[in-house]
Amino acid sequence: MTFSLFFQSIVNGLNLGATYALIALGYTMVYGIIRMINFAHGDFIMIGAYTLFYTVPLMVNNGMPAWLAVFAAIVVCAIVGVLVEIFAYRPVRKAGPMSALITALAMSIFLQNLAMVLFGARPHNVAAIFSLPSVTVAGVTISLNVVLTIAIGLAIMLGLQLFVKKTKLGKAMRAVPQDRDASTLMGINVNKIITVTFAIGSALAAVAALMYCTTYPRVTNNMGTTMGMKAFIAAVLGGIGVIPGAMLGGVLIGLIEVFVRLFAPGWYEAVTYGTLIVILLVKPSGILGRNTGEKV
Amino acid sequence: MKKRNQVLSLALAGAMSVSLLAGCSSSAQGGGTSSGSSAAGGSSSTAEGASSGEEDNVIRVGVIGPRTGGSADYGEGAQNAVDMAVEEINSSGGPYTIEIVNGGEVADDAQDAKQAMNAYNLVMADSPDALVGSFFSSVTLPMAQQAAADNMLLLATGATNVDVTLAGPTIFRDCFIDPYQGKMASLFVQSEGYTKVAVIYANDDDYSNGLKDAFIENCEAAGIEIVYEGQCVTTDTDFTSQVSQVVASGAECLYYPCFKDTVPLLVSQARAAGFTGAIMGGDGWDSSDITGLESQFENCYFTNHYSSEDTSPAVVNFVTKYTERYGTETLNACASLYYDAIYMLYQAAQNGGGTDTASLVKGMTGMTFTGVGGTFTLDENGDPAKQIVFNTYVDGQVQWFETLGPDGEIVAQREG
Repeated sequence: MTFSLFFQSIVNGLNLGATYALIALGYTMVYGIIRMINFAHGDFIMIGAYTLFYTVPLMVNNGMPAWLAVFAAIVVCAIVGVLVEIFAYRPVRKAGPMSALITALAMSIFLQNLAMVLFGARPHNVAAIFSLPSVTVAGVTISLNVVLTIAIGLAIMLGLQLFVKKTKLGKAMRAVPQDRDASTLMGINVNKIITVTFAIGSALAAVAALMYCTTYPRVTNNMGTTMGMKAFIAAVLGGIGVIPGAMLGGVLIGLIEVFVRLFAPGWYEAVTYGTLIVILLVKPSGILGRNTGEKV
Repeated sequence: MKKRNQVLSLALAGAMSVSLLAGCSSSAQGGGTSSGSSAAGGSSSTAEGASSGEEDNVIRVGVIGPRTGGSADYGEGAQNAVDMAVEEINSSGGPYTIEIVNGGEVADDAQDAKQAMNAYNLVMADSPDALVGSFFSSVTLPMAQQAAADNMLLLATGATNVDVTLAGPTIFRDCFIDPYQGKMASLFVQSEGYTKVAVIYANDDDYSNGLKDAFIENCEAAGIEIVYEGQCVTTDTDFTSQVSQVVASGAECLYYPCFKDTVPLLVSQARAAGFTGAIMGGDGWDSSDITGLESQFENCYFTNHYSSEDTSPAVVNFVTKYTERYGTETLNACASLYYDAIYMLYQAAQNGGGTDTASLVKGMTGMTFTGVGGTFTLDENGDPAKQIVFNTYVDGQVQWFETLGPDGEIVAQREG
């Protein structure tokens, strides 16, 4: 393998990985707070992507930069996330983790079919959001879009980490999973915290949609399924519930996929899913996860 | 109970007609190859005898196609084309009329083999005389096997995999086959003078494998070097790894025989990786959405069943009528193939002299047909030897490039 191909693959892997990482952040946020895996998270990205598909042309027609559409996507995703939490997850929250999981799966299917009815089954091309040029360094073509994607991913992870560690709301978010009843006694409105968590997690999905559509400008009603699964693996690999873990897991999965495809193109999905099995066998809490010996 | 009686009587009628036809098989074969009224006249007495009490001159057709999923606009085109063909035939005052079972709806196979069997069972419940569909090889293969077992006439539309019509004598198609399309693509590569080509194909898809195998075989036979052979799966959206290797391999041309929903992704990623050579595909590229990718799609070519720019009367008639009623958005090759399929069944009824399955099969075997897809004759497998169209993209619009005949000769070429 030549150096340029190797370097190109690193860039490709980081690009794919940054998108996975941002989606994984959404999983991790929700899991970290209410110990629930929100399988509908991938479909929030689909909703974000459809919002972009409809709002980017609006922005461009009104003479505004196309990336402003991401704010519309963030608002729409946050609203959908909160609604899903209030109407689907909250009623079953006391019924145990299995009910919550099944509700999340059902929600995923519901959102996909709703999108099919509303927007049609046909894939749509999302108009170019960033039109940055490509630069060629040492025989490697790097699209500046990719650099931007990676930078956005890193910035958001950093911001999120600061938010959770430094703010009062963040502190409350960390308190809720430790002891829900005690948090209530300390004056924390648990329902409000969970709602805020969903709003943030879903807003991240909107940003992930932006990043995804920059590289893969196509939106379909079932785009969230595979992406959601890959990001879920990334979250588990890095340590679900741990914010830097999601980032690490995402980048690793992205690199693994790209490099496996270089040598054995047909095997990359097997290797990705195999990674999940290996990590569950070797270190179930993930690379950065703490071993708490929690009963499941 | 009533339904069961109906099925029983139909089965009996079918059995009767088969036994009667066996008696005059030699004349049936002679009549089948030459289309037109003489054949119909020769065997009309047989048909009347076979379907006495049953014959209502209505061809009941079950249609199956992809109504949802990544290729839903093919299904939409199919539905429109079928509606149009049926309306034309039924208002023409000819000897037979056509009724689409399942309430006139194209049954949805969702581009999925399992869904296809559900769709098959759905239309079979209405006891049709013939089936039309489906468009994808992977979807049609299991249906063809079942149809052969059920002794049901299946006229596949876009299913280009070789094995489809080998399932049985009642399986036909109105499109060319994969090896043919791959071969034509390699002839094109030769005529353009490329010496190094790369291939990326979907290893989970029969169609993609069929085109790839034929393309590589014919390229190697012609001394063209295959410098890279990459795999993907049909649901992939990321091709950065493969296209980087294509660029690194120094290929002048990339062959991507996959379906339209991933074509914009592949082309944009290949161009982003710095690939400037020609990118080619098969009929799976038809009506790819290339909004926003106009410049990336320069120097891209694909083979297809027909071109809306063709000037033959059948094409002009189809394109004009279709555009009037439904616009151009779903005016794709899929629509033209379903349109031709309905007319082929109509002609088969005339040739075979009846609307029951056996007469239709008799009428269709060896038929010569002229339609939107040109003039072709079905061979002993039920496959047509057809002309093939090469399209390219100019300013984001598909433009007809040239039409090659079955032996690679140029039938027509864009002027200038």
